[in-house]
Order: sequence, then C-alpha cells, then structure tokens
Amino acid sequence: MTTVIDAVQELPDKELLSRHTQGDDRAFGELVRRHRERMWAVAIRVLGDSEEAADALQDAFLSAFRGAHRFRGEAQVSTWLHRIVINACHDRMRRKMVRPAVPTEDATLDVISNERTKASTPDPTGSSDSAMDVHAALGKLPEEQRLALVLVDMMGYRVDEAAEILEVAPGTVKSRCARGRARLLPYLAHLRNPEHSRDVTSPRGGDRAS
Amino acid sequence: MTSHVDAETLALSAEGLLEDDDESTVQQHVADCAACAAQRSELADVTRALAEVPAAPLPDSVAEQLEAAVRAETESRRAEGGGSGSGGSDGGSGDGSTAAGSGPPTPGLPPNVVPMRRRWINYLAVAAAAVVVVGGGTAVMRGFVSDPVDGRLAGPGDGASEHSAHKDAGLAYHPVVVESGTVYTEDRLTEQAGGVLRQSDPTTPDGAEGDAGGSAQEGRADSSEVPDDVSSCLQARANDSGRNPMLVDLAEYSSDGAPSPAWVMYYGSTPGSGEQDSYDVVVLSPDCGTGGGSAPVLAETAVPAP
Repeated sequence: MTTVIDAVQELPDKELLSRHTQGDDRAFGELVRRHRERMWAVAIRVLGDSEEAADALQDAFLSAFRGAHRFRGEAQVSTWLHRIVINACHDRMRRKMVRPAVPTEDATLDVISNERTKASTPDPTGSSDSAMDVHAALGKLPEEQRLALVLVDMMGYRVDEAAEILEVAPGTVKSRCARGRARLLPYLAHLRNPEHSRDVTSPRGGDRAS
Repeated sequence: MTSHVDAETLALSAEGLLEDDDESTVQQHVADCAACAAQRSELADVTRALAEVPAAPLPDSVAEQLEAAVRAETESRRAEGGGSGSGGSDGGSGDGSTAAGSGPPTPGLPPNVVPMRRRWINYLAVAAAAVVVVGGGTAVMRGFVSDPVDGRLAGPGDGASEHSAHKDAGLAYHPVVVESGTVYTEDRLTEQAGGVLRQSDPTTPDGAEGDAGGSAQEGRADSSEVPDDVSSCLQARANDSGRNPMLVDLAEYSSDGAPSPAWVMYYGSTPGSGEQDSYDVVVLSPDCGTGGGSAPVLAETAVPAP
C-alpha cells in the first residue's frame, strides 16, 4: 500500500502540493508534468508569442513552487495554477507595454520583437494566417476582456470555471466576453468570409441602409 | 423601425445580460432588421473564430526548460536545508527529472534562452522572497522593510544561505524604501524615476557611497518607517505576481495638477542580482492592497539602471 501511494504519479494534485511543501523533491515535478500542456495553452493564447509564453510559464511554475504553501485547498490546484499563469502573463504584457521595442543583447529577441510589432498591425492584404489575425485582434482588447475570451471562447471553459480562475462573478465573465466579442467583430468578420460576411449571413443581403 | 442595435448590446443580449425591457426591444428590432440579425450571427462567428485558433503544443524545448527550472529550484531548496524532510523512498518518479540530484547550483539550461536563464539564476538567489510576504502580519512586514542595508537583494553568491536563516521569520525580503518628495507626473515619469534611482540606487549597499552627490543620503533617511498599508500593498502585489520591488518611493503623483499620495515601485529587471539592467516603474495609488484583484496602477514606465 505504502509503496503504491509513494509513486507520485498516483497522487492527487492536492496531495502532491502538500508533499511539495513538506519537502518532497519529486512532487512538484509531477505537478508540472501534469499541468504544463494546459498552462502552456493558456499562456500562448494570452500572449500570442511563444518566447513570451515560455517565459511566463517558467515564471509561473517558479512562483507556484515557491508559493505552494499559500495554496488554501478550497480551490482546485489546477484553478490556482491558472491564476498564477495568468498573473505571470499579466506581468509580461505589462512589461511589453512599457517597453515596446525592448533592446536586448540577444539578437533573437530583437527579431521576435520585430515580428511582434508586425503582427500587431493588421495586415491589409489579409495574407497572414488567421491565428496571427486573432491574436492581433485580441491585442486590441482590454486585458480583462482578452483573458475572459481566452478562457471561455478559445479554451472552452465554462463561465463558472473562468469566473473562479479570474476571481470575479460569473456575470462579470459573461459581460467581459460579450463586450470583447463586440469589439472583435470588425477585426474578425473577414475571417469567416473574406468577401463580406454580412452578405452571406443575411438572407436579404444585409447591407440595407437605414 | 426602431434604431439599430449596436454590437455590444447584441452581445450582451446573447449572454442574457440585458434587462427585460431592453431585451424585448432588441428582440423586436432584430426580428425585423436583417442588418442587426446579421450582426448577431457574426458575433457568434467571433466565438467560433476564437475557438478555431489552433493550439500550438508545448514545444519540447520549453518542457525541458521547465524540467531544468524545477530541478534547479529543488536543488536550491535542498541547499537551503529547508526541504530535507522528504526522506524515504526514491523509487517513484520514473523519469527522475525532479529527483535527480544532478548538476551544480547553476542549472544547465538550453543555450537558446539566455535572458530567461539569467533571470532564473537570479530567482534562485531570492527564492525565499515570495515565501516571505505571505505568512506574516504587519509586524513582520515592518521588519522586512526596515533594513535598507540588507535591502540590496542578495547577489547570486550570497543569497540563498544568508536568507534561508530568515525564511521562517519572513525577513528575507528587504526593499529599499524612500520618500524622495517627488511629485511624479505621467509626462516626466521616466525622467523622474531615473532621478530617484540615481539618488537611491537599491543595488548599492546603503546609498552612502557619495559618488552620486550629497543627496544620496537624505533620500533614504525615512526608510525605517513604512505604513502598514504600504506593507499590505507590497504583500498583495507579491501574491499576485511573485515579484517584489527593490525600491519603493512613498511619493506623490499628479495627473491633473493636484498631487495625491502615490507609491512608486521599482522592479529590477534581474531580481536578486546586484547588477540591474533596467527597472520597471509602477505608480500605485494608496488603495493598493485594500481592494481585491489587481492594484490600481496610475502609470508605468521602464528606465535603465543608473
């Protein structure tokens, strides 16, 4: 029995976190392996840039490692990790905002930064791929709307799950999503139909003057 | 026909967030208006477009970095002696990625991530920092901000061992706290922050070295008295982000000609290191730490280290 329980793969998240705080050196690594894909998916969607997302992910897991004793246990470990990842993303976005074209000693980062600048400008030719378009459009939203849309529309989380992660009321998540979608409308309409989606979706041709 | 419904109202309607009256008005209008009906369906398309964005899988290189990071942090914790209680069997983790007692304190990270690696090492040096701010009440918080000499966050060499002794007492984190008397403004924020940093460089031992002129001392004079609410603010922000400022300026901020109290946090670009490339400067209003959620940020900038 004991040997079975001792295999960290068998333990529930909360037990792993608890063991981690008690000094078990294997527990946290197992948590990382369990959650890293999902946390990556959040970070890459929020930040839209793999270098930034990798940074945020590492910041977040590091933060979780050190702050494990803060976990209260009333939430799921996964929910708690989501919060930490989102906070790490928030930090990244904030830094990017105050330092848009950060000069670094690392040439690759400069390239990435240039690419990011390019991506944030809508491409009038519509030739860039849709993921890029979506991210550029998301970048125009207030952060809270972006986060709500990432969780609900992109990740497919239920509103109450997103609400718990974001620590706001479900109604707040809904309204952030709604306002975010409305704002995205002009940017994303062409993704559904490069011509003019209104012509297609409306049986009467849509663009009736009024 | 009633006037058209804007996209936001349509979106709120779709979420059932409108009042009954408004909702029925919208419904009536959309029933008769092809343009609004089309726009409503486009809103659903937005959700679809978002859902269809393909998920890039976690790159192997990033997974490896994480493994290495956890391994390094584990090493660091073990070196501090705080985490030695696990004992027991070592037979569990199949791939051994966390338990492997390998490597020097400086982990071997992939070579393509230089900036992250540098940051990581520095995090090691202040591994105890985030731990700190949580447990203690205000008394502890007063303690942790009270010593500007040790406020210089530990360098890579001396950090872990020195601070581990304080870990349980919550004393590992010591920002430099000053009252510069600056009235920060949005336009001049970068310039002002640069000036305060030159006066009160948190990476220098006590600011008394004098090479920045006579003002270095006075800028630090008040560092022992830190209001409880500032401590709460620091605590809240550390809980949110895991970051702690190296320098806190209890000052004022003016957005409309009327200065009001503001706390200006200077986050070093390489926490834990004696050398900083730059600082993120965040101006917070004093209700930071009282409300839930993120702190009210009045202004932000980034400045190079002095």
